Formats: sequence, structure tokens, C-alpha cells
Amino acid sequence: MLLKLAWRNIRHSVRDYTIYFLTLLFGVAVFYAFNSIGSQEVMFDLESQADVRQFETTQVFMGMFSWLIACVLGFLILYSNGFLIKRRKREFGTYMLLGMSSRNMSLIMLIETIMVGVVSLVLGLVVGFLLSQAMSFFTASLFGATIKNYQFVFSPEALGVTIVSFVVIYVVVAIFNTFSVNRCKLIDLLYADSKNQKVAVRNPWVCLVVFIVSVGVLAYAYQQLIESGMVMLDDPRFIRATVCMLIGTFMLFWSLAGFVIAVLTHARGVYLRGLVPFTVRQIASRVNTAFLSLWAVCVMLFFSITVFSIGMGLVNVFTDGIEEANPYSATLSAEIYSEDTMMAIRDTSEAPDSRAKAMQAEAPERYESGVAYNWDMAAALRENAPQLWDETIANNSQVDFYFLPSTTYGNILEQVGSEALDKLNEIQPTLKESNLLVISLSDLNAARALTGQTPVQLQADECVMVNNMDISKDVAEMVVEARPTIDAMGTQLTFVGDMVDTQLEDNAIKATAVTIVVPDYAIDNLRSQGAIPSRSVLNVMYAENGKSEVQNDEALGDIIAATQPKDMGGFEKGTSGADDKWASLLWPVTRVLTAHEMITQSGGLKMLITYLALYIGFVFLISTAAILAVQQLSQTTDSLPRYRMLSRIGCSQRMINRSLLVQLVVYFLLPLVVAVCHSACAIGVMSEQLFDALGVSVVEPIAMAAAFVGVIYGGYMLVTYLTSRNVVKGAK
Amino acid sequence: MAEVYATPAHSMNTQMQREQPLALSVHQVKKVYGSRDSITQALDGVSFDVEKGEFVSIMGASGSGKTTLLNCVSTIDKVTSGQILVDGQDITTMSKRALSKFRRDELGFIFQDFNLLDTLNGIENISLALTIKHVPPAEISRRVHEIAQTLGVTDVLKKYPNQMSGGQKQRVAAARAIVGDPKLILADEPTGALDSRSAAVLLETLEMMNTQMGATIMMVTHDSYAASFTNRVLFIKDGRLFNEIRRGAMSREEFFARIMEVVSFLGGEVGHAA
Repeated sequence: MLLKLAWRNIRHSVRDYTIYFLTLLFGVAVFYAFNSIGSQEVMFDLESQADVRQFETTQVFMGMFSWLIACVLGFLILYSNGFLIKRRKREFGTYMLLGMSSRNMSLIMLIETIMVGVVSLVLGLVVGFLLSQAMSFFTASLFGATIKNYQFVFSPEALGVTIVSFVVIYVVVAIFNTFSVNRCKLIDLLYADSKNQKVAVRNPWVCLVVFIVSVGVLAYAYQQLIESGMVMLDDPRFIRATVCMLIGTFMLFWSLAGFVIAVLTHARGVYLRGLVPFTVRQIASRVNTAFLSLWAVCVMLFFSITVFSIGMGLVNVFTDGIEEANPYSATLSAEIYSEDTMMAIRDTSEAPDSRAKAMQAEAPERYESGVAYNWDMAAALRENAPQLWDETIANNSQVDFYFLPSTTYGNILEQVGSEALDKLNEIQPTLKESNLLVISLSDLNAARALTGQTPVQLQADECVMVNNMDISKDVAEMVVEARPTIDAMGTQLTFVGDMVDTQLEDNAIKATAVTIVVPDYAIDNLRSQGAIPSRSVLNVMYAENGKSEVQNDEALGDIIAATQPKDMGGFEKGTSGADDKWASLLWPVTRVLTAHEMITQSGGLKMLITYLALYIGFVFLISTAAILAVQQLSQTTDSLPRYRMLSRIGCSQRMINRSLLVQLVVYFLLPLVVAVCHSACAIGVMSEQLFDALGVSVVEPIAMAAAFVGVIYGGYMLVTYLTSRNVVKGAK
Repeated sequence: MAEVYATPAHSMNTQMQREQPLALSVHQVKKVYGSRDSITQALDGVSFDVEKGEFVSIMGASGSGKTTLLNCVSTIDKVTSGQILVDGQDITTMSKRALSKFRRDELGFIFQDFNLLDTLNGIENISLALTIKHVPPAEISRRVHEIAQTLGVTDVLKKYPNQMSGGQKQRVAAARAIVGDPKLILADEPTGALDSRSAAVLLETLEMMNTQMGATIMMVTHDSYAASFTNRVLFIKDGRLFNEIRRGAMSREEFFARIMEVVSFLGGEVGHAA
């Protein structure tokens, strides 16, 4: 009997709240699908450890964020469930009046919860399983891999996580339900309807004041956010901005309806038309009673939109031009002796040989070895593994970077103008005092030859700027246009020609920054005064030896290991992978970046960020849309007598539908508009600080976010509208 | 007792010759509910007319068909056969859309349970009848205040229904019904949810709307006291018109006594509710 009653109840509410039950199903499906990404790796032909790691990392992050997602879905379910229960008070009242014990009522609720839970879990898992199959094609395109062995992948881990998470959520819901049914008093239940009709009316003057204050608080929040630049998340300005945004938004929703009504009712010309008074009052009473959830919805929407667009923007940052940034098969770099950064601050009065002397003192062994090979990395490496070297490496060229002791960047920019100095300060204030980073013309041309670029020509008194990094492009352009002169150890060199666009080493981005190419004699001159390169990079191109890139990467590791085996001690510097076969040394190899590894990593990052952005964005979006839909639908049901009356006094169905539509659109758009304003501010700041500097456009991610929100949110709006229209139509 | 059996005059045949159409003309209206297995004949050939400016009440026991009749006249329900003409227009053949327009433009409603919108204040509730007709806002304001003045609800205009007494609510509803200047006002047990004092005030208001503002009102009631305020009482029993009595020159007390006579004849099912 109870079972039958529970079943009938569910069938009844499923009809009216289809959209909520669909959201549950989506939630389960998405939860499973995103948690199963890690197991998709078996479909791909993943050769290297690096490839496998990308999937593992993605899996780890998905697992981490699933906690957040589970909390959001739990909130959605608990909230909607509470809402549905409140709407059924009369029904419980009738049960009680007929003498049903509260234990049995709790039992009915429990059965209902279990039924809904089991059905949504099973259906959701089926949908999630199908979704994850479809997603593997998307993974392939993100990762830039081809699916080698397509198969149905089932992830028991994802299944386990999904079931555990949702069972926990449903247990909480069941406890909550039992509690709220037990607490019910018959009198309250039976008169629930008339109680609900209390209209929340606020003093319009108070509303006006609060509204103005809220706008002020939000303006302050925006200003703080813009000032903080969102660089450091523990910046007090950022924290202030966050707190003010939360408070300001809350006050805005609290005051908005009262204030708008006060204004509208006095604008008779607009107000007293058609169903406008009715529609306005409906929305106002909704907003007045649900300001808290509107606030939560707005914050979640803000989070969803911002995470999605910034995520998509970051994908571009990490993957735009990754191929051009890695023109060489591999780059071996030696941080010969440059202290901590490449842009080390050096006094202009410093002697050219000071670096050599410092290294000799600190790392004599490495220094001796470097001098013995005249800093020729290829020669040093080939010696211990000549056969493997010849087999693996077709071409190579080395670029030696020197700091020119006689000139700083500040010296050049003073000749260019204050605007250029300001620009430089924006990028890196210490750069002004840093010595010029120079390379020889023949090193540049060797690098260009390796990638098929034409050689650059220079006269004895000329120099040229190499730059392809977006962040320093403006400064470099200014220098090239102003054509200042530099002092290269007594020789005056003048900038000529256009900026040269050459990637001097493999990197995650185009990373050649304001490097100056000088005639070879200038470098020779420097060397003769005892200077050593501060840093060298050896770019290699693999031979066409029938081996895959991964195998060649392995061979390269073996070559290096022959010269500097893993157990070799020495002056370590820089970072090296824990699984490298060789020790990281100042010379000849500190670090290796291979094109394959970089591109794989970028693919992995792209996959990780895209999926995270989709995962978080989607779940937050459907949760908020579902909350609004449930609220809107239940208000429509509550308002049925009103619609009936309107129809009686001669309102056409069309007028009523239009009123419904307006109520719905305003109610859905209100939090969205506020959230979009907040997001616009946050994304604007991010874009100025990060994306512009990296030359990544935010237009595309914003368009994607808009489309994403438009489709999902719009879809929920449409379904809610159609459902509530049917509810109103069916009531007559 | 001969008058007890008087049958209502019906002028369907002469309708065309009249200079001015009748406010309401009901002709041979039948209404059947239910499927083939269980048929309920709610109305069984009801015919009567209401002149312009008349205040007519319809009495009958519960289940007599008086509410069905009101629903048919108010276009909320459809007749099975027969015709209903309001101001010369046959409402039984109108489309659904034309009907809402018709209700909006030609009818005014007063319900037992007030049926004010609880989210709107008094002024907005009254205005609603005009705004949905797209009357210019400036005129709405003027007319609403005029009506409120006449019906004595000026001081509750800014209040919400849950801040008003039952009598105030019903007078606001009456104001809403008449503000649109309808051809016919339909009142469904308007005193049903009121205490006797508020009921008397409301009935005087309706009487005033009828005599001074020229409103044509058809009121359904089972309360003889309420019926005694009208010009004419139609009795309905088992879906048929059973009797009709006119007030003529009688005082309200005399008329009330006459109504009670018929009511007791009908079996005492209908009485003074208050």
C-alpha cells in the first residue's frame, strides 16, 4: 500500500518536475563520465611515460574536483527536495488527518527517495557510460592522438565513486525528509496554503537606500578587483573584492524588487498596461522571498562562467602555437653559470671574466670540462656515444647567450624614450638594470638554417633584435624603430632592419625575448676578455632512422647518460625529471626539452583544462538552472488560482502565456545578468593581466562561454516555460 | 398560490423587433454532463430574458443547476444545446479566443471567494479589469478612483487583500466588476463568505450599482435575504425554471416574504443563510 502510494506520488511529481529529474540524471551521467576519463587511455596508443602521465594527471584532477561537484549536486538535490516537500504539505496533512502514523509517512518518503535515487543512478550511469564513449573521440581531438583500438571502456573506479557519492547524497536527503516529516504539525500542514500566500512587502525607502549602497559596494568590489589584477589570490584587495562582491550582490537581490516596484508603480504610463501589474508583482514576490537562493544562483553562475571562459582562455595560452614554439626535435640546455635567472642583474662595471671566475671557484670540475671542449655541447656529448649520436642526430646547432657587461637594457631604452621604459617596467622592472643578452650572428643563422629560415646579414657596426615573445613584442618594436646604438665593449653598434622572429630553443611558448644579435667579432672580443656563455642551448634535429620520436627521445637520454650518468655528482642546477637517466649538471646538460614531450604535455594540459572547465561549468550551470526551474514551476503551481481568475475575467491564453514568459525570462535572467557583469569584470582583469600579454585573444573563449551558457540555460528556460504553460493550461 | 406557478416571460421570437437588444436572453438551454453510461441533465431547457438595467437573482437548492446556468452565461462552460444572447450576441457559437475577449469587454464578475489577486493591492486589482482591455493608463487612474469613491473603498486602495476585511474585499471585487462598464455583471453567491452586516452593505452596494449606475446584474444565490434586494427572482429546480416573482411596487420586506413563500413551497431547501 505504502509502496503504491509512493509510486503514485513520484509519477505525479515527475510529470510536473521532469526538468529536475532530468538534471539528476545529467548529474549522475556527467559525474561518471568525467571520472572515467582516466580509463580512456587504453584506447590510445600511448608510447611514452609522459603520455600516460597526462591521463593520470587528468584523472587526479577530476577526482579532486569531483568533491566540489558532489557538494554542488548534493546542494541541488537537498534544496529541490526540500522545496518539493514544502509543496506537498497539504498532502501530508491529509495523510495525517486520515490517521497515518508519522512513521509510515517517513516510510513513504524513504521509499520515494530510494526509488528516485535508484532510477536516477541506474539511468544516469547508463547515460554516463554512453557519454564517456562519445567523449573518447573528443579526448582524441584534444590530445591530438588517434584512437588505435576502439573499445567500450567501463571504469569500475568511476562507477564506485559515482555510486558512493550519490548514495551519500540520497542518505542525507532521506534523513532530512524523515526529519521534516516528523516535525510536521497537522494544523500547519492543512493551512500551509494560506500561510504561503503571505506577501513579503518591504519599505521602498529602505530598499532604495540598500539598493544604492549595494551598487556602491559592487563598484568598490570591481575597483578593488581591477587594482589587484587578480595576480595573487591572497592579495588583500582580491579578498576585499570577493567579500564585497558577495555582500553587494546579496544586498542587490534583497532590495531590487522593492525598489523596482516603488519606481514602476509610480510610472503609471508603463505600469497600468495589460498584465504588467500582475507580472511585476509575481516576479517581485518571487524575488522577495527567494533572494537568498537568487544570490546563491548568481554566485554559482559567476563561478561557472568565469571558470569556463578563463579555462578556455588558458587552453589557448598553453596550446596556441605549440608547434611553432617547438621547431627542433629537442633542445638541450646548459645553465653554465648564470645564477638564478637568465636576466641576472649585473653591474655594468663588472669585468667580463667575473662569471668565469665565479664558476671556477664554485664548480671547478664543470668549468674545466667546459673549457676543454670550448663550451661545445655537441662535441662533449658525442665523444662518449659517437655511434648512437650519429644514428640519432641528423643536425644540430648551438646558441651561446652572453651578458654584455658594457650595456644594460636601460641604456638602450633611454635612447628610445620614456614610453618604452614604462613598457619595460610593466613587464619586469629589474630588466632595466640587466645587461644586454647577446648572441652571435653565426649562432642565430645556424639556428635559422636548422629550421629552414634564410640567414640574416649584418655589417660590422650593426646589430639586430630577435624577439618572438608576445609580452616583450611592443618594447622590441620600439627599439627596432628608434634604432638606438649599443656599446659592445667599446664598439658602437646600431640597430638595423626589422625584428627577427626566430625561436632559439624548444619551449612551451614562443620564448625568445629581446635578445640582441651582434657580429661574431663582438662575441670573440668578449670571449678574449675571459667571458664565458651564461647559458647555452643545443638544438638537435633527429635523423630519419626509422625510429619514432619517443624512441629517439629515449636515445637522446642514453647519449646524455653516457656523459653524465645518473649517479654522477657535481654542481647541480635547474630542474630535471625524476625519471631521467642522467644527472642534471651545469655543463654540458642541465635540462632537456623535446618537441614530442612539449606537444604531448600541451595536449595533456589542453585535455585537463578543457575537461575541468566543462565539468565544473556544466554541473554548476545545470544546478543553478534546475534550482530556478523548480522554483519557477512551483510558483506557477501555487499561482494556479490566480491564473484561473485572470482567465475568468477575460484574459486570453495568449496574455497569460506572455506574462508567464516574462516572469520566467526575468527570473532566469536576473541572476545571469548580475553574474555576467561580475564575470565581465573578472575576465576583463584576467584578460588585461594575462591573456593580452601572452597574445591570446579572449574573444573566442567568451564566445564559447556565451554559447555554452546560452544553450544550457536557454534550454532549461524553454523547457520550464513549456512545462509551466501546460500546467496553467491544464488547470482550466 | 397561482403566482407560484407563474412561468417566466420569454421574448426570443420578438427579439429582432426590439429597438434595443436585451441584456441577456437565454433560450432553451440544455446542459448534459457525463458519458453515455451516466448522464446528468444539469439544465433542461431553460429560457428567460433579462432587460437592460434589471437586477435579477436566481435561486435554487444545491444541485438545482443554478451554478451551471451561471457558468454557461459567464462563458466558462459550454451549453449542450440552446442559445444564450448577451446584448444581442450569441455566445454559444463563439470561439475560445472570442470568448475571452467577450468576457473581458462585456462581462463583470463577482465571486463568492472574492477572487482578488493577493499579490496586487486594491487599486491594482480594480485596474486589472481595465488594463487587460488596454484602456489608456491616465483614464484607468481616473475611473478607478471614481468607482472606489462611489463604492466606498477609497481607503483600502493601497491595501493588499490580506489586509482587508471580507466586506472590503467583496466591494473591491464589485468595483473591479463594474469599472469596465460591462453589459452584464454576474455575481456568484457574493454574500456567501460574508457576515450578515457586511452582506447587507454589499447588497446595498449592488443595489446602488443597479439603480444609480445603471448596471445590469444577474446574481446567483440561495439566500432569500440577498434575493430580496433584486427586481426579480427566478427559481430553478432540477434544471428547469420553476417560478418567477417580480418585486414590482413591493417593499423589500414584502418581497422577502413572497420569496420565502416560494422557498418554503420548494421544500425549505432554500433559506436565509445568514
